[in-house]
Parts: sequence; structure tokens; C-alpha cells
Amino acid sequence: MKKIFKKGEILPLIGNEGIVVGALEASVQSVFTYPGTPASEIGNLFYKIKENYGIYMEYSTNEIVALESGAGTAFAGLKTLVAMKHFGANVALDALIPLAHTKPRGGMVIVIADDPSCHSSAQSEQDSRILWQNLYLPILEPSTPGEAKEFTKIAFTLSETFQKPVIIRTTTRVSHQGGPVKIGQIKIQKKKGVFKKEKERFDTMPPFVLKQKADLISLKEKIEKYLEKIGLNKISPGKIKEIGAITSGVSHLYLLESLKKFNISLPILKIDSFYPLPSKKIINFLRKKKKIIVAEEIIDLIEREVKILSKEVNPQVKILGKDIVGLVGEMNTEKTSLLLTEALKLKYQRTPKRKIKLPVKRTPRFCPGCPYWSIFNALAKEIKKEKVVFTGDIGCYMIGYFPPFEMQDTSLCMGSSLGLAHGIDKSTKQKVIAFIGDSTFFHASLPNIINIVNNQSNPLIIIFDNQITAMTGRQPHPGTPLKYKTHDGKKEIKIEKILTALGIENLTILDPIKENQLLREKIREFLKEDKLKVVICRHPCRYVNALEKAKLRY
Amino acid sequence: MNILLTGIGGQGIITLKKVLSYAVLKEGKFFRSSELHGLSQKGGEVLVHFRIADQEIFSPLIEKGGADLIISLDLHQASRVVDFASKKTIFIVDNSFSPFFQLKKFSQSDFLKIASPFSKKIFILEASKICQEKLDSDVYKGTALLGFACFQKIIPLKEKSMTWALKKVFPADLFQKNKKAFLLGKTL
Repeated sequence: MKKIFKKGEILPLIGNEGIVVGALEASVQSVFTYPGTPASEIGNLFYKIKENYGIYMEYSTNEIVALESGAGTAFAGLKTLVAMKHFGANVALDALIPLAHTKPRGGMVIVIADDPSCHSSAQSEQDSRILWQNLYLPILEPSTPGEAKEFTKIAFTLSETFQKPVIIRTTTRVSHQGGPVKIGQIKIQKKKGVFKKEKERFDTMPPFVLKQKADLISLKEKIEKYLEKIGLNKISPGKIKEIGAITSGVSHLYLLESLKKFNISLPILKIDSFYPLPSKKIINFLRKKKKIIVAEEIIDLIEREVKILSKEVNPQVKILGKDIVGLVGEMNTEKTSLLLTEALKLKYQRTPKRKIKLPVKRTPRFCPGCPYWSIFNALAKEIKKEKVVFTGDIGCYMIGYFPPFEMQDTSLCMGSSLGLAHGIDKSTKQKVIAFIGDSTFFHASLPNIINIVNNQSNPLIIIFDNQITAMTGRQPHPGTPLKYKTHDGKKEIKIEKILTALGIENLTILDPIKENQLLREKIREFLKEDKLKVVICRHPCRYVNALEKAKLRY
Repeated sequence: MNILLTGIGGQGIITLKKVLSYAVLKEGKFFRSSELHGLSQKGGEVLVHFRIADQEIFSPLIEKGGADLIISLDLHQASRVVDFASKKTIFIVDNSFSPFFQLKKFSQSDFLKIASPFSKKIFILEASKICQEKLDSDVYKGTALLGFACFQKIIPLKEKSMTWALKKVFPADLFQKNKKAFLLGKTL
């Protein structure tokens, strides 16, 4: 089959595409993911090229399923990549921590994409690096699309050398950063894996797990040396000797920009591996410095470690970081300039706030022809929104939060609308309507629905079924009809069959556009009765085929 | 050069970014860009930062007041990004406004009132109107604006590299339409 990427070509790629090319150059054999911004393009690109390169790739039901399945192929000796957004890492965490104690036979790389400033993640800013304290797994942080490619390759080699999964942590401004990337040699070896039994390698039963933990922790120094040898965590020299900067990820680029702007040259230690931190290098770097700037995204994690290390070697050194730029919102050049000018006692005029009244912001809305318009229209016609609690969830129907509908009172995480509805129904006399999407239904809803049936609460559950994972780019899910998923999935699983099997009696399946009157009738019925009711509103996303049809062009 | 591309989700801003990226690489120059995906794209505002230079540049983001050129596919959206503009900024804006729930009307003079103090020059062009007339769809208006920027020598990229980039980004049928739209940029 036609190969997409040619050796030696320089292509404009975003960071996520860089990760895919890096994995191809490392001869990745199997890929598992659940879509989520800012990680989605990794799966999208693999989905489009898997046949060209003979790679096994799937959209798994959710992130923990992706991680466990990926662990399976890596245990069986295949080079495996698993990709997810930051909240996905929370879902996967139950498997991730014990997995860190095992030794996959094939290289295993786990990509986790954080979203500082919550550009496309409604729930919260999260720094996934914080997981290191339970994982002790290498965490690499690229700054550019080119580094995203190189670090992915390094991660595979590192994983094979130390027989541990390796994490690539990106942020939105790395995942969605564009830049030139040179394509290297791609050679995929198609092979079958073999699971060779070796309990002490793959099983984490106590008390053996404690020995595994000791082994895991003892790798730190060896990995630190290895990374030193291959030239990661570089120090670039600078003219000023008593002030230095420690940077990571995209913050490194912002600091370089600030230095150029103020025409200043500082020594910089760029942290490529958040774990293990190059502590000896940091200690040496701190010597004879009066001030250190730390520029990193989200939480002051490197900064804290630097502060601890400075106690040994140079307790007088002043460390400037999040106390200057704050803990909320992503980094940018304004923030690194602030750090720099504060450290050098220079005057810095931040662009003054202009006294102009900007017109109101355009908020997201449903696409023209979106079936969800009709669902919210029906709700708006039948319900005074003050009288009913609407528990929201993660998907395009979150747009119901914005005007003109403003029908979303809560949002926590995938599947949470159901748990919240159950709790609110149990504790109040109020009517509760829970919104849940089709992809979200498979991802995170079953335990909640089982709980609602088993412990008996009476919300109205509206399943927004547009037959595709629409918000993240129209990736197929287990309920997507076969005609919409030519590259993936051999079976279509019907939501209604699951619900019937769980004993849900009041179940209606309708087309919210063609049968809007029936939907309104069902809403009216719910308002009168005190009974659990489920309505599946099924109509394909207007762009249901968008990912399938998109032609790759490089 | 710092270029800010803005418009509404679905108008093809990310595709315009791809065209610029290929043209830059064709000329052996360097670029760094930043884009947003996901919820923000669903009919909401889309902002792409695009920086071109002869050598490596660093930040993927343009600072407040730091845009040399703002290309907007919507009048209202162009006024929303004046924070990135200053006295050295050129605006190339399509003369259209797509109404939304909170705002039904937004005129050229509404835009000018906000943007004029923060601009070197403002071009308000009839790209959507002309594309609708000549190509039966206003979907090509972004390409027409790029054409204008290229022929007016506002962006440091040659016509030849831009046409090559269009061919790289679009499949054959759409390439023809986009090439026509690009050339319409000459007449705007």
C-alpha cells in the first residue's frame, strides 16, 4: 500500500502528527486510543494510515480499556502506543499505576496531552505530571513538533532498554503547534506477538509487588545517566553568569522569545525529562547563581524540586516562578518576560489594558442541521428551566449550556450526569433530566445506569445519539453503524439492547428531528410521572462521515 | 512576520494555515504556528497564530499588540482580536458578518470604530460576495483574501509558492476553484 511519508521530506506538522511520525520511525505495531482534545489528531492520523503501514490501531471504548489493551500487546512483545487527553489519564490511572510495576516486552509509549487554560476541556486545568509520584515512569516533555517526533522515538528506545512504559506529556501549545519536521526512515515490521508466561514480570500480586516497586524506583539513576548520555536535558550557555533559567515544554520557547526581545543571554537548562529530573545537573546549574527563573506549564512541580535541591547546594539562591506568574492559565511570552525582567530588575511595560469595549464573544453553537438543536428546542418548549435540574456531560450537547438554551446545571466528567442525577433525585423533590452522549454512553455510563436501576432513582435520561464521537472530530464508537466506519470495528452494538437487558422499561427510541412531537410528549409524560425514563434521540451528526471521507494530504 | 488568521469554526481557517505552511516551506523559510481544536471550533471563534521568519523563531504565539497582519473572514471576529493589533498592523477583512444569538447586527463602521486606532491600514474586501458571484460559493473567500495579501506583497510569499501550496493542500477539483479564488484576490 502507498506509504504516506517519504524519507527526507520536510513537512509542516503539528505536534500530534510529529508523535505519529516518531512512532512510525520507531516501528510502532499497535495503537490504542480514545479521542479527546488536545490528543485527538494522534488517533485520527493513525486511523487514516493504519492500513498503509500495516499497524493495528483501534478506537477503544475508553482510556482504561485502551491502556489495558495496549499493555496486552506490549506484554506480548509488540511496540505499542497509547494516546489520551489528560482526563483520560484519570480514567486509565487504575491500570496505569500497577502497569508501572510490570515489564512490557515490547516498547510501550503512553501519550498524555494536558490542556493549560482549558481551551478545549471544559472541566479543569490538570497537570498530569503530578502522577509521577505514584508511577516512577520516565516522563518526557517535548517543546516543538520536531521534538515531539524525536522524543517519541527516544521514548520507544528508552522503554525497550529499561522494559518500562514511557510517558510523553504534551500540552495544547505543543500538540497543536505547527512547524517544519523532517521525515526519517520508516520501517514497520509486521509480526505476531507471543505472550511468554513470566509471572514476576506481568503479575503484581503482593508481596512481590513491593520488590517490583523497589526495582522500579531503583531505575531512576540508570535512566538519568542514559538520558544524559543521549544528550537530553541540555544546558545552553549564556553571557550573564549569576542568573539562570530552567524551562520545560513550550515554556522554553516563550522564554527564548523573551530573551530575544530584551536582547539578553542567560544560561538555560531545558528539562526534557520531568522524571527522572536531571538532579545532578540541576545542582551544578544552581551553583554560584543568585537567581533562577523556572518556566513550566500549570503546577510549579519543577520549581518545587529545584527549591528542594537548592537547599543543599545554594540556599541563598532566589527562585522565581509561579509566585510571579500565578498558578492559573497557560504560560506565554508575556509571563516569561515578566519573570525575566523581575529577575534582572528591568523595566517591563506589559501591553497596557486598552479601554475599548469589545463586542460580545461568539460562543460555540450547534452546527446548522445538528439533531441536538431539535432536542433542546423540545426541552425549551416543554419545560421552564428553573423548575428542572439538568445534569450535563461531555460532548457536543454541552453547547446547550450557552444561549439560547442555557440548559446545563452541572458538568464534571464523562458519565457524571447520571451519578449526579441519581444523587439529586435521591435527595430532593426536584425533577432531574440527565444528558448523555452515545460515545459517552459506552465510555462511562454503564456502572451509573446499573446503579440507577439497582438503587432506584427516577430521572429522565436523554441519550444524545448522533452515532459518532462528534465533538472530537467524528471518530467511530461501538454504536456507530458499520456504514460509517469503513476502517474500524466489526460490529455495531445497540444501546437499546443494553438498556433492555438492564431492565429499563420506559425506553423510547426516536428521531429528534422527524419525531419532535413524540419527544415533547415523552418530556410531558416524565414531568407528570415519577418514573425512570430513557429516551434515545437518534439522528446522525450532519458531518458523521467527515473523518472517514477526509483525504490525507501531505 | 506575525499573522493572525481568524474566523468562525467551519470557515476553513485551519486549511488556510496549511496553505501558508506549505508555501513557507517551499521558499525555505521557517514558520511556527498555533491553532485550537475541539469545542472552540463548533461555530465559535477560531484563532490561528502564524509566524514566518527566515531563521528559526521560538514562540508559537503572537503577543498582545504583536500582529503585523490580521486576516479575518468576519467583521465582528476581526474586532474581537484588536488586542493583538497595534499601529503597525494591517487588517485584511472580508466584508461579512455572520449573526449569532447574542448579536444580530454588526456593521463595517462598528468594526472600524474599534479597530482604526490600532491599525496601520485596513482593507475591507468583498471576498465573499465576489466568490459567491464567480465561484458559486463564499467558502473560497479565505483563499481570495490570501491572494490579495500575496499580490499586494503584504505577505512575504511568492505567487508561485502559494499556488504550489494550494495544489498540495486541496484535491484536484477544489484546487481549481481555490486557484481561481486566489487569483480573484488580484481584483479585490
